[in-house]
Amino acid sequence: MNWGAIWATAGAVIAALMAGIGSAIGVGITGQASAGVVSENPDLSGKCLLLQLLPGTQGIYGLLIAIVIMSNSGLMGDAAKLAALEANTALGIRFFLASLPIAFGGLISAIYQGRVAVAGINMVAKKPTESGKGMVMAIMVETYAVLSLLISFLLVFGIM
Amino acid sequence: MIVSMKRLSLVALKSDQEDILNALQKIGTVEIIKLADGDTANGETDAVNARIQKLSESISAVKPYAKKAGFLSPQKREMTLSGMREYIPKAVQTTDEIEELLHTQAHLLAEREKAASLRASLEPWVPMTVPMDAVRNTARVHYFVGLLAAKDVQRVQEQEYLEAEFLSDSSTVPTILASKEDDARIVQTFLKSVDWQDYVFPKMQGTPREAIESLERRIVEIDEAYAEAQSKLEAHGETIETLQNALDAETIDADRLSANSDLAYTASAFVLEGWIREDEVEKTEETIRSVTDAYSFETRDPAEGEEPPSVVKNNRFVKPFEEVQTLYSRPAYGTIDGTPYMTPFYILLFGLMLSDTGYGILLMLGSLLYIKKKKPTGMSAGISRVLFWGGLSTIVWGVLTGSFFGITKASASTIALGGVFDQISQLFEKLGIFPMLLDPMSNPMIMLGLCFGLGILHIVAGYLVGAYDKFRQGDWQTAVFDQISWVLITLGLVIGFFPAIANMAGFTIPLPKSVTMPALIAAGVGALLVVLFKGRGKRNPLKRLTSGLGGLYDVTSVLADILSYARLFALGIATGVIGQVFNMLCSMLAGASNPVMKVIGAIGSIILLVLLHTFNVAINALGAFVHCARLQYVEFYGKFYESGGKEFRPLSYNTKHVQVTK
Repeated sequence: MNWGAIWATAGAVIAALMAGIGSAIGVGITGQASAGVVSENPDLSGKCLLLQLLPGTQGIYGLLIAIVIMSNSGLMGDAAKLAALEANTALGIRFFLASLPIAFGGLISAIYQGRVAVAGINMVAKKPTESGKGMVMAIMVETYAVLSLLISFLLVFGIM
Repeated sequence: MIVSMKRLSLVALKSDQEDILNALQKIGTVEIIKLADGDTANGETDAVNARIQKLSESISAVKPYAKKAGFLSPQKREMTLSGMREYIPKAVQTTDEIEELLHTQAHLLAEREKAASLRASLEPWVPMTVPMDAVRNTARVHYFVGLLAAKDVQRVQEQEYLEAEFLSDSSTVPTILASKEDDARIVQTFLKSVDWQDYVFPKMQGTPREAIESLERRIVEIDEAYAEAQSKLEAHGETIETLQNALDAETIDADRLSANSDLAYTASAFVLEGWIREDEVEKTEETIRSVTDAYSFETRDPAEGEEPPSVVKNNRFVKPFEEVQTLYSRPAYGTIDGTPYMTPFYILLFGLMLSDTGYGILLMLGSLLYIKKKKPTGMSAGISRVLFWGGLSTIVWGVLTGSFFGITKASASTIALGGVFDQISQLFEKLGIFPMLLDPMSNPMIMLGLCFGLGILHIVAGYLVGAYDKFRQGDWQTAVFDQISWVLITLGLVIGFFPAIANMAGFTIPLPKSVTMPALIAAGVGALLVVLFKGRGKRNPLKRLTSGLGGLYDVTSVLADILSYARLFALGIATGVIGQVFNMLCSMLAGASNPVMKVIGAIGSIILLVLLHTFNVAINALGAFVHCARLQYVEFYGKFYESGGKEFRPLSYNTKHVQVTK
């Protein structure tokens, strides 16, 4: 068994998977709230769409880390890197650990960002001019996904 | 800067009231303050509001059938007010027609529903061959009609005083029972003991089968009538502009009429109190003078306890960024407008978060097209110009960090690309112009340091703006002890410990002691100022010292503020890497060896590239917009800004669809 490659693959998987799940939940609940508001007032669909998009970024961050893990560890076909990875299990584990910040930071921040965005959408329904404040509130949550992304990214780039 | 406001008292004759209000609404300079809790309801206002209600309902009813405005057609039509008013009679007639049609449709739907449910209830009785009205009680015979559960059929048959006819053998059996009139009571009691449900034939002619056929014919008729009403309604789609023009004209009238109830009255005169911008006082008085010369027009400064609305005034370049500030909050009246200070940082930081020349070009051209063709007003006018400047900054940052639609100098080595992408990135390498500053992917720590550096600059600027504002107000103590002191601490610590910080990131950058020592001393002086003077309002020296030491703890929040600028780096990287991933996917698609597949792949990948990059620029521009706004609101405005200003709402032409021209 080439444990190095398996750990690195697990890292790419968990980054894309967890952050993706979080964003799916976040965008899902905001989508439901948006549909409710838009059914009452179709003119607000643009504002609701912007709020709905916000919890979607964590999934992109997860994808990003998955891709840099794959390309830096040689999983995308760089034979020399792959050989080094297969010879060294610890290397693979490091890739796996590097994926954890965005995996869990992304998962949980996307869900909570989604909840804040739902509240923002409800606010837009009552006060359409205040959508900017709703976006800022939601972006406060995203800060922590961005920080997770940063640490995952620096860790992956620190490996090779 | 914040415009100073004046409190206006206008007294004039009632006979001139309508003309004066018309003129004031036209120039839109006065926010009227409600004076009397008078009766807001009067016949005229109610009538206008009722028409507005009807117009809005009609517009939303026909909106789905109206010709869609072109994506790049102007947001509002240009029209004169009298031109708009000409549409009112036609619009009123149209709304009546639309209301009638909607009413007809609702009625038809209800009838169809009824017919359909009647038809469904008659369905089990189809086997019946006699007309329904033949089953009628006579002097001697009593009929019972109903649905009987199949399990009880046997029991009913056993009753000798009953003649039964079962019309089917399903689980609930449509049943007609007949008995002698004398036995009716017994039968009723008996039916209570079995699973029996009375059924009453509808008052219709013929057998159930015939009745169903007639109902079906009726349903077809209803559907035709509905479709006819629907096509008439859809034909009204083209009247939507008439309705919209009339709605705006009526809204203008309603606003002015409701202003009437805000005024105070004497027998022959009215009193108007309101807020007016100092720089529009003259223009306003001239307007009134052109209507009448029997008036009293007085302005004064806002008194203690009065809260004038907050309006900011800036030059053409800074003005769009007022919208970014308004998204947060208007500045409290008498404090400082942050827009001119925030604008350069907003542009600088926005570009860093996207940092891709290609995306910058897209964003800049896109917003330019939007501004020129759509002629947006209000908030979207501001935001689109903000994006224009952000796009320009993105182009510059893209050149500095070397990224063009996700193609970087390093992308050939980081992610295997194919064909044309490699050639472009090799071209960059050959020319040596790209990146001009540094490649964030190969030097992440330097890039991160740059972001923190910009953050420190931003934060220090925030403190300095605050200090300037306090000096301006004559409050030198706050300026020095709460603002300048933090500039000293922040800059002193950063410069003093710079070699150590650089060392942590893996760089050796020695600074001479002649630089670091004074910096650390400055930080110490700043800290001393905070410890000694933070609690300057407190008499008790012990409490004052505790308050000062507690104030020093704020250094953690400054540190957190600086770390928050890591998002600049992370978002910039995210944009770039996602772009690279898209390029990689498409080059894989186009990289097939089979020539036929190669052509198909090339076409597919071009289409995909356009779609994917558009998606990437859209979602990351949204991210950059809000994250950049957050850096302004929290990290920058947190240092000096006082929020909570009231919006200025002058009596004016408040329209949705029409831009009123003179």
